[in-house]
Amino acid sequence: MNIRRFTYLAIALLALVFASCDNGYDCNLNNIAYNRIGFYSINGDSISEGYNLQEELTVSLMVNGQEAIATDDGQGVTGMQLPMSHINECDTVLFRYGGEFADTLYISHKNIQFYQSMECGTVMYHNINGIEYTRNLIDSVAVVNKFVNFDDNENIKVYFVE
Amino acid sequence: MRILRYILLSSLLLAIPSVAQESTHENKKEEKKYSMFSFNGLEVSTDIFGYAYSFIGEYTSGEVALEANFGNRFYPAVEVGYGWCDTKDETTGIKYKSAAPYYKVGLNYNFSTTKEKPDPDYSILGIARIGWTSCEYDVDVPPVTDPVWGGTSSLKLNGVNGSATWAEIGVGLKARIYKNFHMGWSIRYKVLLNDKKGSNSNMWYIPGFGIKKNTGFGGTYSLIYEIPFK
Repeated sequence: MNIRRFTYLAIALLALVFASCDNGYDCNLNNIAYNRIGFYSINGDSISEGYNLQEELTVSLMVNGQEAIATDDGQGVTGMQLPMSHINECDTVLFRYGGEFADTLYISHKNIQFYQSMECGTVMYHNINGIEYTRNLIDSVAVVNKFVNFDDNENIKVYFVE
Repeated sequence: MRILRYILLSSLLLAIPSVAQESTHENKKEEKKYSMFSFNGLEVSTDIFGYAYSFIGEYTSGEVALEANFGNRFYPAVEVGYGWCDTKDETTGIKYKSAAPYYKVGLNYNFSTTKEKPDPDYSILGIARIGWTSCEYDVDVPPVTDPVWGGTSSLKLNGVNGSATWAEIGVGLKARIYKNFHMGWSIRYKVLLNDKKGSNSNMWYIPGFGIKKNTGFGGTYSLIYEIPFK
């Protein structure tokens, strides 16, 4: 009887051998946590909910003094995701509206290099400290989730004038 | 595959002395009165698998255990060990260093003991443990390039505090080798219950548990000395 009980225990243990062995950490190999920005009207409607920018929108990131276009999807763009500098603590984002108007966001942030494991190496997270911006077609900017990591949550809301 | 080979080999090693000793002890045991909860003595053991693991793995450990024998059936156990790890990943170039004691408490249940055979020379054991450790670790990460802006960032952490709690269940085999000396092995399934994450790092090696995973396996190969109570 005891041997039978032991056999059941041994079989149960062996079954666990074939069970998945999950890591206790997320392994992100691309090392880029994106700053997710959503575009809204001043009333809080998202661009996809009927509101359209009056001008063609091009968003660029200033990378080492050069403009690097991040999106030029025009009037229907509802938001975007931008990489953040791993070294600098302030990123500059340019909004060009096709004509003469332009706006600039200055996003100050702290970089947090995080060690995952020997195999996965490190990833870089960011903590948004604050944003300064010009107000041509941008009405206001809100930081809704200051920690920039690998989830899908929106970090910044940009409200445009109508 | 290595673990399977180890189990098979050690089973063979254990089988020989246990068969040889069986007949000599049989008569003595019959004279003893069987009681399920009577205190029969203490067992002191050391795990040699932990020392040997450094030859095949990235870490090693030393461990001693004290078990109380109740009726040759229940064995409350305390295990104290010291685990250490000083390694470098050849691919990522990351160095990791940690060394700390760990503690486990739990119970062994001997399935072999019966009223007819109250003190068998071999024991088939069910094993349960709760383990805990608190440690400090160092991490040295070589420069990582920013893929967009360029430039590099590196990370060097010293003396990061970590702690972990885990549970173990397993099975084991123990056999008398000579008089009060026994040998035994066990295989244990480990479940990480919680661990403390640093602000800039995960704990990678957990002393007593192994490489950090939600679940894992471990083994012991123990030399045991039985201290008789009477």
